[in-house]
This record gives sequence, C-alpha cells and structure tokens, in this order.
Amino acid sequence: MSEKKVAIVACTGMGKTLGTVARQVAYKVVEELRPEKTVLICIPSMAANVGEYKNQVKNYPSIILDGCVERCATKVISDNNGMIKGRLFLPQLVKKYGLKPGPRTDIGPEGEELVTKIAQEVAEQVDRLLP
Amino acid sequence: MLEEQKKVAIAVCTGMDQPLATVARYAGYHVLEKLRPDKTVLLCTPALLGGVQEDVDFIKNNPALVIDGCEEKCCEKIVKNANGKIRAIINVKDVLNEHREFQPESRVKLGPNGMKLAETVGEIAAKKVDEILEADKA
Repeated sequence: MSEKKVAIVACTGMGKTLGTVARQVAYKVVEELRPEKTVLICIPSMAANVGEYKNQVKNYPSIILDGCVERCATKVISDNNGMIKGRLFLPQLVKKYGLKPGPRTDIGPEGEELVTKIAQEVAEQVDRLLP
Repeated sequence: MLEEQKKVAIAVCTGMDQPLATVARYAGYHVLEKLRPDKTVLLCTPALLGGVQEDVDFIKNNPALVIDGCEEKCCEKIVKNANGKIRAIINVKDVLNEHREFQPESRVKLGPNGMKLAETVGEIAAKKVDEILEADKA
C-alpha cells in the first residue's frame, strides 16, 4: 500500500433504493471517474476479515456514502478505526437534485442521473483529498 | 390470539467486488419480491453490522437462509457472528458451476445471463424456504 488512495465506502444495504444508488455511485467513481485515485471497500468482506480492506480504511482517507438515517456505512468504518474524511448522506442529495430514483432493483433514468451527479461530487472530494 | 407466522430471513452477500455478489443480491430480491413474499424477509447485512436493532432481532429469532457469492463465505460468517440460526446455505459460485451459460456481464450490470443466474439461485432458495418452514411445522 505504498501509493496513497481514497477509500470509497458505499452503503451496500438491501432494504432501500438508496442502497442501490450508493452502490452504483461507488462503481462509477472507482471504475470511470477516478480509477487511479480510489479503492473500493467491500463492507461484508471487511467484516469477515477477508482481503486488505481493514488496512485500507485505517491508512487511506475514506469517503462514505450513507443510504439512510441509520448510517451503517459510517458506523462500520468508525468501528474499524477508519479515517473518515468525507460523508455524503444520500437522502439529502435526493432533495438537492430533485431526482427520484425508481425501485431498488431498477433505479430508472432519474436514478441513473442522480448516480451521475453524486458521483461527480464524490470525484471532486477525491480531488480535494488527493490533489 | 393468532400466532405470528414465522418467516425465513434471507441473508445475501452484499459485497462490492465480484459480479457473483451482485447475483446474490438480485437472487435475494427475486425470492422476496416475486417467489416467496409472504414467507421471507430480506436481511440487510450492513444494518446487521451497524447494529440496527430490527435486523439484530430478526436474525436471532428467525431461521436464516444464506446466499453467499463466493468461497470466502462472508455472509455466512457475518450471520454466524450475529448468532443467527442458519438453516440453509446456497453459494452462487456452485450454481454457476452447474450453469456455465449464465455468466454475468459485470458487477455493475448482470446482463440477461446474469439475471437468469440470479433467478435460478432464487428458485433454489424458494424451495429451501419451503423446506425450512415445513420442517418447523412438523
């Protein structure tokens, strides 16, 4: 882990549409917008002690995408002594952009547009953390 | 007073890394929303890890069916750590080994074949839900 990266942590929740949106945002940032500057954290793997995720959240600044008021992603990263440097609360961003995603299995065109806008915000945060 | 009907908690791998995790996710939705909506609830693994009481209680009080994505078996480990009563385990990788034609496209988009794999896993899960609830009645 020599090169500094930003850890992207998405709520991977099953219950709500915004869990799906958070997940899609994370993929967009890591695969398309900032692949060279980011790593994707897998919460279940981290909890099961699989892979390098625990070390990554300790050593890299993290940006958290929480899908609901429970803020499970934030709690899990805090419990693992993660270095949280940015937090996005998706219900707030739904209001900000006025875009309503479809159901959790298919977020639809407005959901896709929401993903694009939130991913852009995340990418800007990544650039501020790693200029 | 009527006894509350027992339901099966469907716990799926909610991993981010592999397409098979996305398959597990859609298999969970398929069971809950289409195949056995009256007999199942979908457990939210991150909520369980985040200590959300509803999920913590549910996994303690109901039989669980785990759908893991790969050989790491993260979901099974998480449910065991939460003292869940696991009654059946399905591994998506095993199902893919028997249906090589259902290779998912990517972790972001499963594509038609990946969705078929999710539906196949869902069908296997639905049968196991019936078996669990039948066994509990006996």
